[in-house]
Amino acid sequence: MTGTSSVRLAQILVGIVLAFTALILYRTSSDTIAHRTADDTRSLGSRVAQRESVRIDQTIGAIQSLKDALDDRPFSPASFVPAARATMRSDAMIDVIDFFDADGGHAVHVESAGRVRLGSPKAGEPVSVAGAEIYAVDLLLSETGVTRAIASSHVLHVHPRSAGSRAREKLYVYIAQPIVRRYEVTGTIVARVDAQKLIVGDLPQAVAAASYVLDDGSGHLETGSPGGIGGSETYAQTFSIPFADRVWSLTLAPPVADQRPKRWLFVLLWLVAWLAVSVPIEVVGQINRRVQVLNEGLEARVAARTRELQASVAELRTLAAVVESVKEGVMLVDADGAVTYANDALCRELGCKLSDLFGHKVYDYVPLALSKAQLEELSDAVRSHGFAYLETERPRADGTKYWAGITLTKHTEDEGSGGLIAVSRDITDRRRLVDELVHAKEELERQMRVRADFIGTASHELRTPATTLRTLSALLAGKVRPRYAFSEEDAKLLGILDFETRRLANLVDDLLEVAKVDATEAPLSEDDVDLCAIVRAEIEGTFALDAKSGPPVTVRAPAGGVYVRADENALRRVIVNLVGNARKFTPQEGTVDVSIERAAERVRLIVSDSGIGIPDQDLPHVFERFYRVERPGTEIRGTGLGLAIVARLVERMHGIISISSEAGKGTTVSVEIPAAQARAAAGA
Amino acid sequence: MARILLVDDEPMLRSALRQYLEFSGHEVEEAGDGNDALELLRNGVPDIVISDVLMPARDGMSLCRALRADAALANVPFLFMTARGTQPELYQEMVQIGDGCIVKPFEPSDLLAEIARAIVERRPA
Repeated sequence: MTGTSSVRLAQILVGIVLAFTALILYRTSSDTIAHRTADDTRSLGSRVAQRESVRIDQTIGAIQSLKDALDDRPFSPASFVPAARATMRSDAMIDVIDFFDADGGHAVHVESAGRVRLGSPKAGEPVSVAGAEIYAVDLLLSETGVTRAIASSHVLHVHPRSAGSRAREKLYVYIAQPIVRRYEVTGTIVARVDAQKLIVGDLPQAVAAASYVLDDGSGHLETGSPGGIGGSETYAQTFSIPFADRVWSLTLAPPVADQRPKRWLFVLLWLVAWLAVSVPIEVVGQINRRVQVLNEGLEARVAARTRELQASVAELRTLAAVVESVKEGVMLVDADGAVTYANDALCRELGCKLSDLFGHKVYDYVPLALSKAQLEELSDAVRSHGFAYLETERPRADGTKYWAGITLTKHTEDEGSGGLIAVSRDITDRRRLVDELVHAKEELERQMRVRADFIGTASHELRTPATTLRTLSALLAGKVRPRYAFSEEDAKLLGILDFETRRLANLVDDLLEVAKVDATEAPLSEDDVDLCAIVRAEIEGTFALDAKSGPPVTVRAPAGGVYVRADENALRRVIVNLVGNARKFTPQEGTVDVSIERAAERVRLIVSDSGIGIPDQDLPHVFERFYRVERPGTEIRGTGLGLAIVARLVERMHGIISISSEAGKGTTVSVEIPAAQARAAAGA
Repeated sequence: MARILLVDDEPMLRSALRQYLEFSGHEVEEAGDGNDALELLRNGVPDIVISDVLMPARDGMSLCRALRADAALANVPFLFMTARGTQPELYQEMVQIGDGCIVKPFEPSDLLAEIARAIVERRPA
């Protein structure tokens, strides 16, 4: 809006300035015209005055010639009249010529029209010649209406009779010319000049459109227009026309129309000039307003952008402060391997100055302990996996060494150029701990291997003597015992022997199993097998016939097969072991249930019994090897390996085993193994 | 009653088993290894051969294969005595070429049952 008002103001100012300019131009041209008018008037006046002077001189000259012709000759009208007539023919302004003798007598009167009279002037009317007053001839005077004539040396000036009608009357001028013979005036020639014809009649033509006033200096006046000077009196100029011994004054005024320039022209000029300036100003103003609007928008955007920049700068500062304050060493490396940034922590870690690192290649700075090949390998890893990790041993400033764990990631702000961010920390302690742990683990594994080997070897070696003992014991029981009459006590001893050899055989059996599970690296197969079929087969084959050694086993399984992904032999061993255990610790009149359930992607095999149960304190340890639940008062003994073997087999089949029990109430063992994938999808 | 050829490199076990089997009513001949066994087999064909697997001179597998290769002996039932921990492939082969496998340490009565089963199964119908 200020734009609009400033444009208006500019237009007004331009209008004012142009108005002043037009005024000045008007004044200047007005002056110029005035000067020119004055000059023209002057020039015209001079020309006219000179022309009239010449004509007067010519007339006077004509009379002079007449006088010269009459000089030195006695006056004779016969000669005078033709000469006078000749003079009048040559000069049309002279219309009457008189001759007065030395005594003032009027001798001849000649008119241009041809009238000639001879005679004396009236008596008593002196005619002054050569400076004397001439008393004009009656005739002459009466015709001209001259009341008085004053004769100077040459001119007889006749005043009009009355001032009122002078402009209408004939204006005559008399020129007296004395004739001198032998130094004696013998007469006077008086010529009447028609001034009206000579000057006044000629003026209107000579001055053209100008107004004029003619003054003979003694009250005579002649004007070119009825109202006096009709033009601009301001520019009126007066010129002298010398006439014999007197001067006529001619006043000229230029025509009114020439005096002033036309005002409307200047007003028009001003208007055109103002429009010529105002319209561009208007256009420029509009452009300005648009530019201003654009500028305002631009300024707003610049301001917003500036705020954003300030915000990001603040954020950057915060981030920089964070990066500087962390304990980890942070380093930026560009694609060529040059360090572009390193924080304080890294410098402290290495005991160096920032200038030692900045701009140098990573692999050129020995304390960083990174070779060029390593860096390239790490860069490749970062490119393909997004990050890379490296542990390397670096020297500290004090000469000691430490282990640095370096994580390298992509410099995301620097996408595509291959820049890296390396964050390193001192992992010496952790690494030492890990080393110790690894050593401990290796040692433990070695010891376990040794133990497993020992157990395996030992049990392997034991199998033959155990078989031998068992066979001998059986032989004793079968062959020797009936042959002799053993006392009750001896029979009991034999019974113990039989029992213990049997136990020994079982123990060797289990030990071998453990050794096998531990030592053989032969992997279990992973087949899709029908758990229900296996359970039924094992239970019918192993336990159903053996009704004496424990309670009957009931099986609950879904109709059709339940397929699992497992090793069939391992599965059989698990089932036999669990069911065998359950029967072993359950009285004859109790129950042993085996059930199979589908559970999502797994299959659950549950063996539960109503047996003697396991005390709470023992429950967490039942899967440990050689752990045996102390059961005072019972004769049931185990090797403490059965559940351990089961647990190990289940684990190797990617299964989970769990046990719950209540002393005196019974025990439930649950085994979850993965369902067969194809069957689970199609069959369930 | 059966005539049994018992092959094992352990004299004590051999002796114990022999006495047990004789007590159980069988006739037993002993051999310390596969070669001895083959020697004895030339003299007469037993009703069944019970052999250990691992033996110094000729092992049980080799002995069994030799029997199977001999037309006169091919039909003699052959029981292996082995230890747990036997390689599965070996076990498979034993099952294939032999008539049964009893795992040491075993219950002597189980051995008697196995002998009876093996002879019955071999007997032509």
